[in-house]
Amino acid sequence: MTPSHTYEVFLKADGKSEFRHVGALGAADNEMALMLARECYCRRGEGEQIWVVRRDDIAIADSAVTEPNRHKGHRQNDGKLVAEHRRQLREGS
Amino acid sequence: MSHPSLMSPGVQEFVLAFADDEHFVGSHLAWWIGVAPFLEEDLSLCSIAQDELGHAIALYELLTDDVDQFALRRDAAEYRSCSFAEVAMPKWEDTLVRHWLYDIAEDIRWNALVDSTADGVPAVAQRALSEERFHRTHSTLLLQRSLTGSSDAKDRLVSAMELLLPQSMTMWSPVAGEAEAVATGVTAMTSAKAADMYVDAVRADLGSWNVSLSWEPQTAPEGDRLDRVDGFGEFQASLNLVLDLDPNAEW
Repeated sequence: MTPSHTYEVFLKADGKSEFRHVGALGAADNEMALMLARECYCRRGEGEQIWVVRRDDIAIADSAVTEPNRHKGHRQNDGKLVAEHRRQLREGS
Repeated sequence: MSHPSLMSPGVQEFVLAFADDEHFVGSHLAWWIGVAPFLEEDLSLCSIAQDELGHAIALYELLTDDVDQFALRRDAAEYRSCSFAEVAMPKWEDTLVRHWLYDIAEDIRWNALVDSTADGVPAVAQRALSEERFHRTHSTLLLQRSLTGSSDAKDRLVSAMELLLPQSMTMWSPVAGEAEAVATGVTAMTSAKAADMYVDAVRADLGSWNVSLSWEPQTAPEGDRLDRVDGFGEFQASLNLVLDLDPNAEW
């Protein structure tokens, strides 16, 4: 058999739900990957649609790219900071 | 048979032959869980095995109220499976070739039952066909890819084909009840006609893969379904291994 590639598998359950990553598998090509994904990840009808994506084709950003944005609390828009600020003003602290 | 089936004994025998084939092919495929060449194939083959066992159960349910007893604990002489379905195939290449050939035959057999006059049979056939097209995809894709691998892989597969193609014709060995099944519209064709379609389909696949081998199809042997292969007793015993721990247990 021709060399195997690693594929990431995504399923879309139904309706408006989004595709979700469910696992990975090895396959020789796209056609085999879809067939194996059906049997390995969808044999109980877990998905209505299947995507398979070769892992080699995925563009990857490492943690150095995302790290700075983990410390920008001011970008949180859940209102907690404003609420705390107003509480402090009310209480004159 | 304990089921008050409305089918005549001849038609029951015809349905039984297909059910027993499905049962044993499914059981043999399930054996590969954990030992297939790669993990994805462990799962895929066993998923297909479950489908085949499901088809067997659906047919057995047309014949009996006690499927487990009927499927697993009959006397050997009461089975009507063909030798191609019964024989153990511990070599991967043999299993893959049987998977391919059996699913070609299944497609023909189920299609012949879609408009069956026997109660319950058309619904089972429709459901089975909706699954079988994926079995065909699985076997042909895997075989096609394997044939384009190393020369050793191709040699082993072609050898397996040359070994198993003659034996595969036992799938078309008729039971005594076939004539009645054809006459009453239970099936749309004789096994001889189905065998011709099978040979054409096999040759079409071989041609598309550029595989040339020596095979002169013979007429299906009479009486194959009345005999059991060597090792059948051990195989049936293995299917009963857990049941025999406590035959009176309720599951």
